[in-house]
Amino acid sequence: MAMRARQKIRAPRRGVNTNKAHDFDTYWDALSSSLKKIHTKDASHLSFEQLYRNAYNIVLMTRGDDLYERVKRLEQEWLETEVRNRVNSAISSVLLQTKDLSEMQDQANERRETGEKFLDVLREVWEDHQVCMGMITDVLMYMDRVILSDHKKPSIYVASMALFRDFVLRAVARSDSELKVIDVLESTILFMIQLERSGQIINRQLIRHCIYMLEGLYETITEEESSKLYLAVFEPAFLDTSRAFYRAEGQRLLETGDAATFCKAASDRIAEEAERCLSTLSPLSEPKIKEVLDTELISKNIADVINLEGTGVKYMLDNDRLDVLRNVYVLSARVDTKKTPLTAAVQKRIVEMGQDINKAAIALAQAAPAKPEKPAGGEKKPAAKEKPVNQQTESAIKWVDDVLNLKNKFDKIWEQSFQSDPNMQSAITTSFSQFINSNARSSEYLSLFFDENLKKGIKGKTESEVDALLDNGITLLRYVRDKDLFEAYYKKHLSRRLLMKRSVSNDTERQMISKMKMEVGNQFTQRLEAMFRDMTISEDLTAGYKEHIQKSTSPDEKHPDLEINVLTSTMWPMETMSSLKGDSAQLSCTFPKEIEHVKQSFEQFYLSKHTGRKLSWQPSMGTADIRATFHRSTGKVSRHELNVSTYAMIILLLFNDVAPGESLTYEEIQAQTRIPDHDLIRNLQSLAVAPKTRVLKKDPMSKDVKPTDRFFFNNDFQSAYMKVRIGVVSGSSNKVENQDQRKQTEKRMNDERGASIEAAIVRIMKQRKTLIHSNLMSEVLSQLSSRFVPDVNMIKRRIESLIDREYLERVEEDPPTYGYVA
Amino acid sequence: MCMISVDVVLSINMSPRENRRQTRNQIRGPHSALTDFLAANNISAAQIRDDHQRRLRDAERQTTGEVLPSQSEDGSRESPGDSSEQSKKRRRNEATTLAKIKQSKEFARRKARRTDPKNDDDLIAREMMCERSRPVPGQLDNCEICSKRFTVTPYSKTGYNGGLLCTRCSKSMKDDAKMAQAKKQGARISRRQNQSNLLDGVAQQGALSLVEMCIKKVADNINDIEEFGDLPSQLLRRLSQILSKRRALDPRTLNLFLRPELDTIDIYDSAKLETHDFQKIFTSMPALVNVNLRFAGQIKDSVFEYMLGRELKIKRLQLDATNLVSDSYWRRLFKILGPQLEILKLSNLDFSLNDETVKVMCGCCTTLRRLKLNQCWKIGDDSLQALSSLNSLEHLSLDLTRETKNESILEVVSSIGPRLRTLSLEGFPNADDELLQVIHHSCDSLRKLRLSNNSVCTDKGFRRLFTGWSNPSLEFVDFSSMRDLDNSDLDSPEGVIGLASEGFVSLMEHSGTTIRKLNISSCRHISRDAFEHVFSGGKIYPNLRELDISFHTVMDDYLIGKILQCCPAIKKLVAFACFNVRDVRIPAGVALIGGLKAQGTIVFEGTS
Amino acid sequence: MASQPSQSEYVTLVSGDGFEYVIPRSTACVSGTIRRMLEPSSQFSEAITGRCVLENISGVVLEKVCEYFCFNEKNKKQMNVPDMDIPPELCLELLMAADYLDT
Repeated sequence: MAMRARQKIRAPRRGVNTNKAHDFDTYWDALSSSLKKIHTKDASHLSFEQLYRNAYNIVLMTRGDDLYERVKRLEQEWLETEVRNRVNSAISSVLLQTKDLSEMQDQANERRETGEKFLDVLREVWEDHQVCMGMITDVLMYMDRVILSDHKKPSIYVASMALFRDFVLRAVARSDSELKVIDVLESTILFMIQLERSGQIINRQLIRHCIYMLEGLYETITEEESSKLYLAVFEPAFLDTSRAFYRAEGQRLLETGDAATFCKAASDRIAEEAERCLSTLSPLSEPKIKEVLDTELISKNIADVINLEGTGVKYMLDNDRLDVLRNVYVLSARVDTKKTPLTAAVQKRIVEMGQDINKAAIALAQAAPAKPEKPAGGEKKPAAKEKPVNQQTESAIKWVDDVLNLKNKFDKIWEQSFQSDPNMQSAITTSFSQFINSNARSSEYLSLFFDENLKKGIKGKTESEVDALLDNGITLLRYVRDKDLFEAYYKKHLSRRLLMKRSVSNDTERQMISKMKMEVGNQFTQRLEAMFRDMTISEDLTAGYKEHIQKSTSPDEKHPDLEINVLTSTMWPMETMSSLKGDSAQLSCTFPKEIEHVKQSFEQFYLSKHTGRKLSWQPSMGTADIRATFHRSTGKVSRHELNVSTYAMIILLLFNDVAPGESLTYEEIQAQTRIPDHDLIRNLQSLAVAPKTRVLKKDPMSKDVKPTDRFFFNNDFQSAYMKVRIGVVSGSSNKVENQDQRKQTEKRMNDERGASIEAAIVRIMKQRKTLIHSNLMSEVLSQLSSRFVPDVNMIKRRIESLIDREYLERVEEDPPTYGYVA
Repeated sequence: MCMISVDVVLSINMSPRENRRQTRNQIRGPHSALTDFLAANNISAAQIRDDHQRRLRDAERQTTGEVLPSQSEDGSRESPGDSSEQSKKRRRNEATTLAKIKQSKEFARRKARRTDPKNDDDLIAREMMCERSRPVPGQLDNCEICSKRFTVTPYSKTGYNGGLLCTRCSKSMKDDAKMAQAKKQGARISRRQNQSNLLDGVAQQGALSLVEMCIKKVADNINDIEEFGDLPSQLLRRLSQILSKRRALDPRTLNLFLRPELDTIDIYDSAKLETHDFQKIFTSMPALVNVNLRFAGQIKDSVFEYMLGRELKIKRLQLDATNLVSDSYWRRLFKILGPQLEILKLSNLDFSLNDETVKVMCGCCTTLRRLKLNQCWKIGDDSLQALSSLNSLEHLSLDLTRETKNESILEVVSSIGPRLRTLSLEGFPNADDELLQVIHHSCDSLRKLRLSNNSVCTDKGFRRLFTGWSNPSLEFVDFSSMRDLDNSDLDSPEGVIGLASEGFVSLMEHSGTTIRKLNISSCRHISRDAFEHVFSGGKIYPNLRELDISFHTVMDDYLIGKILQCCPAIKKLVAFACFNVRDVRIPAGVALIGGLKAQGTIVFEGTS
Repeated sequence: MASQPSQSEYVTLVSGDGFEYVIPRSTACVSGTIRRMLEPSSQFSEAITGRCVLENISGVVLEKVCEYFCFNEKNKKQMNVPDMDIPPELCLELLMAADYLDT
């Protein structure tokens, strides 16, 4: 640097600082006339540079503040004269009239027209002002920069906007009125909105532009967001009128008395207001107007709408008005996360419909013949077409079907109308559970439903259909409170299916078990699985015995084939299977010689394998295939293979020793076979009375079997088939229990429950040693709840009984406390 | 008084530890906070050392470079007609020369510089040999480019293929090289400058504005300038700043700023000015309205006497370090100028200005809008009481040294709080949650709030301050060093001391939308969870430009990344002593200051 | 701005002493003053003609200003750009002009 010759650096001179006062006025005169030209839209001859330079020079003279004030004054004058005149002349007297909109009906059109004109003028002057001030601010940019750097004054643009607010909007609208322009603007826009709400088409763009103006102006010079005129002035008024409008609208819609209309209208209004905020007003108002709608239109009315007679939720549910229901749901969800009124209405209706199904089932059952199956009335083979005798069963299955249909219906509603709302789901579940459990026979019905399907229903269905069917059943099982009762029925029905080989598919049976296992738990299915196990073991046993016979006897010796099922008595519902009249030990029936021989041989075989076990034979459960030869009167001989029950086989074998044409009386048969009366009668009925399987002839021919009746072998037996299956009337098919059976089942159930309760009490007390009564109760209840809901009195009785038997003792009286006696 | 310039440039002795660092490849441990601060203030020990070493190396290279060419004087330039005997001899010579060259340092250096593996040793050595075999100055040679015969001089340049160039070709070549170099440099200016800019918070993309460039140029050539001409005052202010920063403001340069038509004088560093210089200011500028003189130690009673005699229309008065003025003259000043003063900023007055004087000031300066009293050591409770009467005050900044009673400041805030737009309180160690409550109830138009260096206020207090506060959201917040000094027990029954998690979260909820500048350095009880919550996905602080999170040990690369996501406008992020900030990707245009790699390369995203 | 088809891509800057410089519009708009001058919506004469007469800037200085416009354009995307070369004798004049042009 030292090397370079020192150059003098030219100091910039603009010559602005000589003769100040004069220059300022020259500059300002030039500027002000140009600014006016900008306002009169005559800018194209102006040079930006010239204006800018004038302002620049004034600022360099340190007269920037003066310039600022002069510009402000110029703007104010412009606004006060030119602009205000334009605006005021656009305000007609109709716009100044009372603000009450409803009274304006007759003048609506006039008001609307002049209103639009007014808004148009206002929009125009506002937009002009904005554009011009934009240009002026650009020209005065240099001044603004200096002014702003002092933080003392707002930009000239901001200042001029405030001037517009004060000298245009807040000016008196007309000399003869106290209203200000902004009041007229507000009432005019609100009037337009009201018009639109009543279905007329208005100039949205125009209003939007006026709203832009209110959004662009602020109460304060610092321009905080919250001080926007729109938020500070217009919005509160808008919300107030909307509130009043929707309060009235809600009343009006309610009075029309149609829930669907109400919901439709409400949804439309919501969409309409949202759209209005976006297109006509400001998005800022959307949440607020929504709140107005929610409180005024929905919250206050939704409960009434839901419960409207004839069109309310009840009607919608009955008629599957999914779309309307969805509306109701959406509206409810807006105001109440719990949707209390809707939930209540749905629940009420579910219970009502459920009770109807219950009643229908009972009615159907009672429509069956006055005498059910007990007095051995209408013998029909179960395979035959549904007859009144099965009406109860039918009613059970119909009940399940109905419940399932109802369930499907509500599932659909839940999914499509209630948007899979979890709260609604639990409400629906509760209601289903309520009415299902109010039907005392629900467990039995459900088990019968499974039985029916597993026997016949699933034939010809694909795997997935079967799966769905079972799942449906399982869904209902979920609602059933007394699972133990269901288990009892299921066991009974299952045992019949297994022993009679009536099950269509073993796989399906197992599938069913595993489904139940998943649904209810391991414990529940243990015994059912044991039954299946017994069946498998028995198959092996039968095969083993056959082998044993083949080895031990000569091959040409003829033996009846024996197929045996050994059942573990604790796992199988023995009591229900053998259709006993009483528990009294009864003599086993006398088997024919050949059979007796086989029986003994098997007993030997079995006991050699499993010592210490006792086999008791259940002839009432078995079947036999026998070959019968019929000597026709024509001399022909025809043979048929008869599949009959064990008892029927015993009876038929008696006739081997009877000469043709001879007969046996009932009493003779009974004496020889010692078959219990009940079973004997039924078997004789199926052999001699049932029209297609009359292997015996009865004299006299009647439906009833009397002790004095005589029976002949019917050589004229006709059948189209080689194999004839002769079922036993009743008992072999699963159907609804009659009253007595039911009582028995209940009694057994109670005994079983008693045992379960006692077991639970002892388990708990053993662990806790001493426990207060109420705590013990609640623990017992919680332990057993998965199986059934125990009766409190029953628990109390069991506790008493345990105390009597000295398992427990009373330790204290207040509060009552028990101790465990080891 | 220590010498200080505008932007707080400290002069600090290099610590011996820094000096001991010797070699370039030495592994460096984490920087101490001191190192970072030194770096922040543009002082780099490593840089000084590097410069020194580079000079040493240059000197060394020159000596070796001079010796070598003379060794191979005979050269091996082939000329037609050489006999085979001669060529054999030449080849032998050549071989020995090559071997010699290969052992030289210059060779090693060149080899190291070349990354191309194809360049084998022979090639490099041959090139060097060619260079050495050039004619010495005074001889004639043919130019490599234009083939003209010319006289070799010591300044003759080498062509692309190693031959010498004539003067004309040399010149054009030089120009080319210059341009190439300029182009190359275009991509980066010196690392030191780069880091220095960064620490100043400058991470600008693209060129500086022309105004800034010119101002720098003017400052560079300040000694050649005799007058500023009609330069507008905002440019003068900027010039004053830059000259002050360069410590170039002396009685001569002061004259440039003295223009009678101007109403403003801003001298950011008056340390070199004498008493009569100040008098000259008031003599030559009769229109003064704004007076801003900092580091004005030589202003004495006599200057005041003179100034007050000139009937100036001063509205804004800012004096710094005028600690030689007696209290009686301060009072005269306030009595005469007080009624017209709108802005008064006094700082570093030490033992000048006592409570009584402040009372007089408050009595006289009735139209004061902005008041700042920093580091005036005598100001105490009585002064605070007097301040409560300043009804037109909109901005109040206090930085006290003397301990005051909590009640005093409570009274000030409760009586003048409603008008305040700025409230900055430093040096109030006794202020407690009650102050925060009073602010909550009294102030509803604050834009700027500073409370720092206090270990009494609690987190709960801060939460209560910001919860349901009618004050609109703030733009400038400084809560630095609001924390418990020795106890970091976060589970103490009284709640956490200082601005901690709850307070921070409620602060950001209250002011997040408008906040522009936030300093929470050393508020060490703010938990990581609170940071993660405040800077979680979807939250945007659209106006936050500067953020100071120094001494927050929970800060790490992840959180910095989150902060960058949530603050799209951020320009400056100060993170001294955030040891887990290691390798974060900083977007272009953002300056990250401090952090472990404050001096290392910072990856700029968006630059090619 | 350049997207409007009616506008030419270049503008002419004229110094007070009559020198003319034709430069790309986009580079010139780095200057806030020139940008507003050319703002098409305002319809000032400069916007219509695409010609800006800068009365109080001399040709020498305006040349340097134009050089800066190009320098700035070239370094737009760069970090750590060094300063443009400014002859010391011009620096005050240039500073004045830069301030005037808000550059």
